[in-house]
This record gives sequence, C-alpha cells and structure tokens, in this order.
Amino acid sequence: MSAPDRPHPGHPSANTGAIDDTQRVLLGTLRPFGRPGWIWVLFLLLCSAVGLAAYIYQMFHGLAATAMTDYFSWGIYIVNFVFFIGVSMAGTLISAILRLTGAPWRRPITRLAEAITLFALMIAGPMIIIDMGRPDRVYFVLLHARLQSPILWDVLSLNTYMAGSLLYLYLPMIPDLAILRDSAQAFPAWQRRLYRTLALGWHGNAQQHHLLERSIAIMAIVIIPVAISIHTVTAWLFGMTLRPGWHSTIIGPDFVVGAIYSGVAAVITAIAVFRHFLRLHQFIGQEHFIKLGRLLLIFGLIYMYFVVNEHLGDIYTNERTQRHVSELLFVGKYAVQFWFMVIVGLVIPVLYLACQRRPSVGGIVTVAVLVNLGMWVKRYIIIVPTLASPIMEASAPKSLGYIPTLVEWSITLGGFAFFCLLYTVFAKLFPIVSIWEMAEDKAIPQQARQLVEGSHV
Amino acid sequence: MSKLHLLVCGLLLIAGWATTTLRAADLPTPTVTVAPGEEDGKKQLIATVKTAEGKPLENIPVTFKARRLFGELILGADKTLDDGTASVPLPADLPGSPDGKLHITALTTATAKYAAATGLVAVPAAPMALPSLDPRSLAAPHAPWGLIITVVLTVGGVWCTYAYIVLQIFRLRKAGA
Amino acid sequence: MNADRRGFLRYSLAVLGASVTAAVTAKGAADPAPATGPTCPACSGPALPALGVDHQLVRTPGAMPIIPGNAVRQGVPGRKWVMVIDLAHCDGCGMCIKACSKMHFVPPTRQYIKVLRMQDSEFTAPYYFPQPCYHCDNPPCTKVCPVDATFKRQDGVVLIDNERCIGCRFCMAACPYGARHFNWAPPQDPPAALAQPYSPETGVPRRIGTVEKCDFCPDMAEQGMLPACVSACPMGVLYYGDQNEDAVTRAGGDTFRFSTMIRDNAGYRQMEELGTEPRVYYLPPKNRMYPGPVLEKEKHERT
Repeated sequence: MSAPDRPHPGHPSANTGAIDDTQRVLLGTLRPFGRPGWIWVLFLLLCSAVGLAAYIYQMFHGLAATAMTDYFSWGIYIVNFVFFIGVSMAGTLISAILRLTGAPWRRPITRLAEAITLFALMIAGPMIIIDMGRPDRVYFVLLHARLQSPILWDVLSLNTYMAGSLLYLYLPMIPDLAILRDSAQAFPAWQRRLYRTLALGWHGNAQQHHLLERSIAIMAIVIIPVAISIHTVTAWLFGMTLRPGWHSTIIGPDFVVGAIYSGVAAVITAIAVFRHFLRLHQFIGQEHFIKLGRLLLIFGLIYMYFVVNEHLGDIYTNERTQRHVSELLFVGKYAVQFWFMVIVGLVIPVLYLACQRRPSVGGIVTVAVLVNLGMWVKRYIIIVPTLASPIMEASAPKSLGYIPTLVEWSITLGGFAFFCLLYTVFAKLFPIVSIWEMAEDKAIPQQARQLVEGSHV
Repeated sequence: MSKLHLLVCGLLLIAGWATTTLRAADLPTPTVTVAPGEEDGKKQLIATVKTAEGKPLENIPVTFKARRLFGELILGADKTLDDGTASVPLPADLPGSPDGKLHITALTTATAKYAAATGLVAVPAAPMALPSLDPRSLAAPHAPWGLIITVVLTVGGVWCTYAYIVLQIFRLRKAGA
Repeated sequence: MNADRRGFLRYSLAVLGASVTAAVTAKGAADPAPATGPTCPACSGPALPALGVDHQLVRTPGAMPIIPGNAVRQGVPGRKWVMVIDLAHCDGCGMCIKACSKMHFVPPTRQYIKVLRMQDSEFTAPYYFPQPCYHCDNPPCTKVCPVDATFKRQDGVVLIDNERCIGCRFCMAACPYGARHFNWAPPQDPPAALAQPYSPETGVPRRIGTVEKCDFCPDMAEQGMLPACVSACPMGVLYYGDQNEDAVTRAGGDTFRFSTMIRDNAGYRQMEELGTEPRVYYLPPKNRMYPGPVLEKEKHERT
C-alpha cells in the first residue's frame, strides 16, 4: 500500500487540498474546550466524585452498604463488570476484523472503537476491586495465585487484553502523533512534549512504514483470539459453578455474541456522539451507520438464536433445578426485566434494522442505545435470578430479593461517568479520527490517477 | 395414710438402697482375661471369667467393645459357658486404631454374687488409610500440570508477541533517527 | 377387700417400684463408667460454653491449642472425619444450631448448621433436614478460590483462612448447598471470641469482608470430643467419627460401624448427581420416631 519514497501525509510536499482539509478539521477538534465542553467535563467529574464518595462510604461500612446478602452474594458491581467487559470486547474486535478484511469504511471509526475497548477495561478492573470484601488484599491474587480459579484466568485474560488493546490503539496513532508534533497549531508545551515523545521520531520513511504496518497487522491477528478469550473467560466465572442458569455449555459463546452485539451498539453510539459534537460529518456518513447497523442486525439475530437455545431446553424438560430460574424470568419476579431485554434490547432493534431499507442515522443510533440498555439488563438477569434460585430451595430466605442501594447505583453512575470522562479527555488530546488513515483514504484515488497518468506529484 | 403405711414404705426404700450399696461393697470381683482365638476357621474374641481363685464362672454376661476415638464400639455380647469362656466373632475388616492395634474391652455385668469386671487386650489390626488427597488437582493448592502448561503456553505466547511488537516499536524509533 | 386396703397396696407397689428403680440406677452408677474422650492437658484459654445432651450448659476443658501456620492446612494425620445424620430421628428442635452458634459465637442472623423443613415432592414424606457444611471430597468451593484461602485438608475438613480471604465470594457462588456466609458488616464478636488468637480451625475473631462456615470442629475432634452440634442433639440424630476407624458416635457415646450403618440403613448423600462427594451421609426418614414438619399443601418445599 505504501509506495517507496512517498512522503507521509502532513509533510508539506504531500499536498493536496483534501489532505490539508482533513488535517485542519481533525486538528481543530483538539482545540481547547469551549463552555459546553467544560460543562460536560464538570458534570462527569461531579458524577465520578459521587461514585468515589459512595465507595469511600462502602470502605468504612463494609459491603453491608450494598443490598447484597448471603443469597444475593453478587450484585450490580458484577453486572457492571460483565457489561464493561462485554463492551470492551467488541471495540478492538471490530477494528481488527475490519482491518484484516480491508474494509475501507473502517478508517474513521477504528480509533473510536479501540478507545472504547481500552477505557471500558479500565472501568471493569476497578469494578471488580470495588466488589471485593478485602480490597486491601488485592495483591494476594498475584502472591497466592491459584491457577485453577477462573478468577485467575480472568485476571490474566483481562491484563493480556488491556496490554494488547493499548498496543493496538497506540500503533496506528504514531503517524498522527507525528502530524501533531509537526503541526503549526497552538498546543501547550507539555502537550507538544507528549506528542514528540510518543511520536517516536516518525518521519514516514519506507522502513518505518513497513515496520508499522507489519506490527499493526500482527496485532490485528493476535488481538482477535485474545478478545474472544476475555469474554469467554468471564463467562466461565459463571459456567464453572453448579448453579442453574450458569452451568450451561452455551454460556461462553452466549457471552461472546452478546458482547459483540452490545459492543457494536456502543461503537454506534460513540461515533454518533463524536460526529455530532465534533462536527465530523465529512468523515462519518450515513454509510458508516448503515454498515454498522447491518453488523448490529446480524449479531442481533445470532443473539436471538442464542436466547432461544438458552431457554428452550430448560422449558421443554422442566428440569427441577432449572425450573425456578425459568419461572422467575418468564412470568415471575424478573419477568419485567427479561421481557424488557428481549423486546427493547433484541426484537425492536432487529425488526427496525431488518425492515428499513435505508435506516436513518437517528434511527440507528436510537436502536443502538436501546441495545445497550437491554444488554445491561441482560447481564442483570444472568446474575440475579440464578442467585434467587438456590439449588436447595428450602434454604432460601423468604425475602424481598435484591434491590440495589444508593451506594451501588452511585458507584455504577460513577463508573459510567468516569468512562465518558476518560473518553472525552482522550478525544481532546488525540484526534479521534485517524488523520493519516483518512488522508490515505483520500490519497488512494489520487495514486490511481498517478499510475494512470504516470506522473509524480 | 396411717403411720404404719409410711413406716413400711420407708423400710422398703431403705432396703432397696442398702442392697445396692452393700452389695457393691462386699461382692467379689472376678478376673477377666480376653484374647483373640479361632473357632471354625473364623476369628473370635474369647473372654475367660474366673474367680480370684481361678475357678471358671458360668452364666456371666460379657460385652465386648472396641475402643474408638469418640466412644466404644460394641462388638457383641455372650454368656459364659461352663468353662468360663464367652466369645463373639471378631470382624476381620474392623480397622485398628492409629497405633496399629485394636483395643478390646471385655466387660462383665454384675450378677447377684459377683461384681462387674473388665479385661483388656490389644489385637494387632492395621488401621485403614483412605487414599490421601492429591496435592495437585483442581481442588488442591497446586494446579495440575496440564493446566499450568496450557496457561503458560497460551498467555505466554501472546505476551511474547507483544514483546516482539515492542521491539518493532523501538526499531521504528531508531529508523527515524 | 375394702377401699382403704386397696389404696394401701397400690401405694406400696408404687413405692416398691420407685425403690427398685433407684436401686437399678444406683447400680448402673456404680459400674465403671464408659470412657469418654481424653482430657486435654495442653488446652488453655477461656473455657468454651457447650450444650450437653440434657440441655445443660457444660464447659469444655478450655480452648483448643492453636496449631501454627501451615500445619493447620495439613490436618490431623491419619483421620478422615465423617458425619452421619439420621433423618428418622430428627424432630426439628434445633438444639444443634443453638450449640454450634454458642460454640462459635455465631451472630443470630446466620447458622452454620441449618435445619430445613423439606419435602421432595408432593406425595413424598416431609422431614426435617439438618444441613451442616458437607466438607465435600470434590469441593466446588476450593476449586474456585483465587488465593487458596479456602482449602481441603488431608483429614477431610474444608477450612477458611480469613487472614487470606479477599472477599470475592466466588466460593459462595460455587457452593450448591448454600453453606457459606459472608461478613458484610464489621463483626460484633463478644470479648471471649476476641480474646482468642485467630485460627482457621476456630474462625474467631471474625474479620470483615471474609467468608465463614461450619468447620466440623476439627480442634475438638482431634482431642476425641464430638463437635458441638453432635453432642447437643437430644435425639441422637447426628453421628460423627473417623472414617479410617470405620466408626461414628452420637451424643451419649453410642458408637456404630460407619460402613455397616450406611449399608444397612440405605444411607445416601444429598444431591449425589452434583458430583461434589459430600462427607455427610444421611439415613432416610423411614420408621420415623417423630412426626415430620407440617408443610402447606400448596406451597410444599422441595429439596
């Protein structure tokens, strides 16, 4: 793809009006926050502070500050953990698969997707520590590690995935960092120093291009099994127990497909938000939404297939240990949540995407938000109804069940807010749409013209 | 009730108490010896009850017990024959105590003429040893080798790739200088 | 004969009966008493209250010696503790729960041993079901512990080291019998519990954010004393012993051969199909000594 001695985009000699325009617009997104930006950041900081305050309260009062009991021994902290792992899975996976298949429409969205992955993992990890009874002993997991425990598998997988995502996010950023380093735009000194250090002396020569592209290709291949492993291993936290609803052979693939489904929806939501607020309409068009919408439809259909498989066997056989869970989900205490997930999270999005010839951007984004809501609820109904159905039914207390406390909701809010904050700060420091890849995109028809006309620019 | 009735009742009570305590005090204690033996090819425990002078006692009930950690396991009971012996079968598969012996007690019941007595014997019997737990298993502290190798190979393989990529990054930096 | 003389005869017979009973009892006391467990000269510390079989408070000879460090994880050599529960005799009185809770200073909100009211299906018999931790031979809980805080010893007991536990509660999710409890709030141990040095064999003083459960009283068993629940059972429902000795004993000292008892009384383990291989065996509630629980016909509780 790279011709020898081709000057890298951003270099004065590689001038076309289109490249300049790309660079100007994208660099423009890095200008300091205006008032709406600061209000948004302050709002996120406030929400994060609320979450932090709630956690400090929990540290003093113990986990009794939550609604968890000996029966509902896992609650919405674990729901959040699984949700964020699910969201994280899809970002890098989509970027990697699209890169490997050479789909050209991926260029404006790869960094967005990869960033989702990294920041979602950075929320998922702490969420687990928040759920621990003795966070002061978290280093025991390394010191006294038992490899037989699925928690260890999850720790290994999560860290492997986070490291891989970081590499996979960073590598394609190097040429952009060089553009930032060389650009005339006014940046604070520390910021320019940051760019210079991270740019690694990128000058766009042939050898560097070769090394970069090969590294990106290797990472794209390696990151796919790692991404699949992270959510499979998280599923095995449940699959390796004997509980009804958890102890099923389908749980690994179920989580993986559900994660891709919710991840695609998260990517759609993210690109819609950035497109609107950073005015990236020239890079991200309706076509991107339609293509992502098609992915969403495909995975929605596959996930519906999984939901049917998950429940049909249990209903058909009416097995004793599973019976109570199915009853709770379909007609019992958790029926509202279950049918919300199915209808709002699955049926409506799939129907809309399937029936509309050219769905509008607004429609697709709405549907994506519904999917995310539905998939959060899905994580909830994976965890809580099973805990409400102990195998020894006679030993279950006659209680109201699990109603999360203010502390738990505050920490959930804090988690989501901090995720958005990390993402916002990232988008303000680094161009959220890759400049050099967009320029490459525009340069391709130009290269074709050159080849045909046989002249160099 | 008349005074006469009360007197009779009181005398009966005193008589009952007296027979008990007085009996225990001055009844002779037989000697009991117990040893393992064989009868019709089967292992037996044979207790011999004799008076202090060595005369065998007949019709004395004997209970055989084996000492266990929390109590005494009753192996059986028998009445002594005219030669003073009583026997019960000794189960061949009864495990011994951790010291490798079966501690047997033969206990005679007190009769009208004789007090209760005990005899002890330690029969060699191997203690049972249920298989000890594998220190390497899914439930044990140490992981099975297969798991360790799988994890090291898969996770290690990925991290080696990362290391290679980081190396490439360094090379990239050098290539720009 | 006239009423007066008849009355006298009746009265005299009663007194005679009483005196004979007294004589027999006194004779029994004069016999050499069957040996109970050995005393514990090495034990020290405050005596622990325990309930005897006649519901009287008895004092054990003091706290058990604390075994240091890794020795606690090895267990008593040569022993394999096992429990048998005779469902035919259980009347649901809950003395076992009271004794255990007293021994281990268990807060009133939880029970290490539960007595459940069970009925397997609509037409099967209702019965009371004492359920301690089963100390499974294939324990799902120790498999999933990430830090080796809960462990299976060679003597069969599954213990928890609350100096190691990180409070992830994976073991609670993994246990299919719901045997484990969590210290959600700061524990409120009484001074007698706080005075002891911590040992996984006793589980006190409690630590916040850690897991606890029935521990089969291994410190007492090693000294030849039955666990609190076993010695407190007035119906002789609970039996405890060393499977290597092939004997189990109940409160009062009656000892039986474990293998014979299970074989001849159709002993079974709860939910054998789960594959956890519990170390607690049950004898089915046949020829009940006491009536089972009365469960509502519509909402009968299933296992």
